[in-house]
Amino acid sequence: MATAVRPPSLEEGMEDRAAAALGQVKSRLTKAFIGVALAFVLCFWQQDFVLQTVNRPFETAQDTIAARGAPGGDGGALQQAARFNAEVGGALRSVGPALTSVGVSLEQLADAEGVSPAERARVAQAVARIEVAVAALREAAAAVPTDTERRPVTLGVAEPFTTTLSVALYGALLLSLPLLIYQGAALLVPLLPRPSRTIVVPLLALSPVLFVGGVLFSYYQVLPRALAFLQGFNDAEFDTLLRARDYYSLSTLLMGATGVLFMLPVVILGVTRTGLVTPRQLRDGRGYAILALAVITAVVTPTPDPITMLLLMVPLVVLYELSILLATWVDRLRPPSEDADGPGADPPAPEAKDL
Amino acid sequence: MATALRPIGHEDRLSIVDHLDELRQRLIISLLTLVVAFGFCFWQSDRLLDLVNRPFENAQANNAESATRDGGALQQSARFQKQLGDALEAVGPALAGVSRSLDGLAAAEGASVGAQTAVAASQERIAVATAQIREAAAAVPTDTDRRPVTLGVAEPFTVTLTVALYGALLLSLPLLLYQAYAFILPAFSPHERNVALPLMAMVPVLFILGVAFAYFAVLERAVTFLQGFNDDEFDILLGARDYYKFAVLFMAGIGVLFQIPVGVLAVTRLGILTPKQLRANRGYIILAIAVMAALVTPTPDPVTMLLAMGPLILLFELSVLLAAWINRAKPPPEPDIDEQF
Repeated sequence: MATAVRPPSLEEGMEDRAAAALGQVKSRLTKAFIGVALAFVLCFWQQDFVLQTVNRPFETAQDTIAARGAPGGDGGALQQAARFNAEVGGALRSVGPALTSVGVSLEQLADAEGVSPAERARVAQAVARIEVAVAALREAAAAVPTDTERRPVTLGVAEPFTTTLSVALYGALLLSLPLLIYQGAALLVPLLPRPSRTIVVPLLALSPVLFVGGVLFSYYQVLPRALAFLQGFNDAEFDTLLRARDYYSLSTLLMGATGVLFMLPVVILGVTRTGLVTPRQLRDGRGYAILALAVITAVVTPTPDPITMLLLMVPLVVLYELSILLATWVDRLRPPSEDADGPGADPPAPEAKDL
Repeated sequence: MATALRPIGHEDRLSIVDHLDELRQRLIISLLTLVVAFGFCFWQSDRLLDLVNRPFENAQANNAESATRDGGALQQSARFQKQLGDALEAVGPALAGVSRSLDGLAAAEGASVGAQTAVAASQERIAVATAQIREAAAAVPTDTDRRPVTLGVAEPFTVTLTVALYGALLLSLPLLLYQAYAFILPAFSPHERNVALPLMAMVPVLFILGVAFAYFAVLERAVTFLQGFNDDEFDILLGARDYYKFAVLFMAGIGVLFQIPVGVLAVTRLGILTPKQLRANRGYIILAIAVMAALVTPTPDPVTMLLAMGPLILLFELSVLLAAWINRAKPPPEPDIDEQF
């Protein structure tokens, strides 16, 4: 593509260069694909871990809901059954010792003088039965469901399998994101004129870090709250089950969107470094920017409550301010005009449009 | 009506209206058959659903057996209830023994009157408790099988209708095919008819064989694999609509794949390919069969695929043998060329 800008000197050279460019595209694509495939294999191999990780916000949300619902309402049939099972387990655990001590008492009473051998035999039989019963009680008490957490529900025949596949794929994309960005950048950056390269490369290096930061923030802070709100809504009126497919698509979307939003500094540094906007203008337009951020977060967060929205908005505003500061600082070190003065300063603009 | 049921002769010349007339009659007969079969299937829909649910039930049993870890909340609570029942069953006799021992001890000399009345009272209470424990132990849920889940308001009804319709299609398939053949057959030349007629008769037989094979041998394994996948991480329920769609597609797919002999005999009898050529290209054909089996079986595990592939290859080989044998007895004439001129 870079050749297209320059006047064609020799057709052979053009062809060679086009072939080389195509070859490079092919090798970059292959590398990216292999990277994703390897990451996918890893994620699929460690599917238990990946799924447990993705399920954790849901479990946290369930705990939140359960803690909130404890004093007042009696929960649904599912919660009641879980509580009943736990209580029955406790009862079983105390019935066993009671029976054992009854047996011991009987034996000692039978040992007293004046008890016929027939009675003693009967007591011995009763004690034997008590032992059997105690063993059975102990087993039953051990079988009390410890796992009262509900998990995402699958309904399709192949859904457990296909859901695992898609979650593994999302995990693989996240894992291989830096590689993907690197391969894309390695392909495109040489096409940019030298001065803008110095702007773009650090920004590209910044973007996976920011994306992963956004994903982590969403995973630890936003997702459990959003789920607790959405899944705990009117839970006395519904049997709230969570379909696996729905859950994974919502959580992936939310995390992905937060990751993208967290790349805000890249955009700001990009526009200030290329001289499109000055940090001062950004600072003056702060009001509009915050409004825009509010609208975007409201759209991205799936809950209508202001808390989740604010939770996502605050770090974005902080990122906005930080990146303005950073841009000011960088500009003071090296004013953007210096970059734009380079020999290829004017051609890059139309070229960028060509891309 | 009687004429409509018999195929019309090749030599008969019919006007377009006569053809349309015949078509109408055949369509009406087919529809009537289908309606009757549907009525029957809907009437017996509980049995039909039992039948279709059986692979799912067996798959659940398989998965419960192979569950190495502690399973999910649903499995755990089922197991707990069973254990609880066992414990209750053991507690009853223990209490009865205590009661009897108390009786004996109280009857022994030296027991005060107060002690004897206390023992009598506790015996009565133990009797009541034992009776209740026995009842509770008898009420332990024996039916821990999960059934396909419906979620829609009308889903139990619509799903039953759909399954009854599929059952009706399967039941009336031979007759429907006969009507179709009888309509098409007059267009064939006598030679073509000699080739086509036995093959056409084979179609429904092979289809039903394929469906039966899928039902008895493959479906259960596929459902076991798919529903047992990662069952520690999901609460696995099975949506009724999904399950029936899956089962029907699966069985019909294998039924269609079982038509391989029809294809093989058709191409050899019509002289398009010789059995020798088919045998020489066995490798490619087995590859094609493997691909088709992999497409039809929805599980990525090789076992189900091989299970579907085995009989297909067997059918292929058998039909090549059959074709070779028929060709030796009656070599495929080159009448295709003769007749064209």
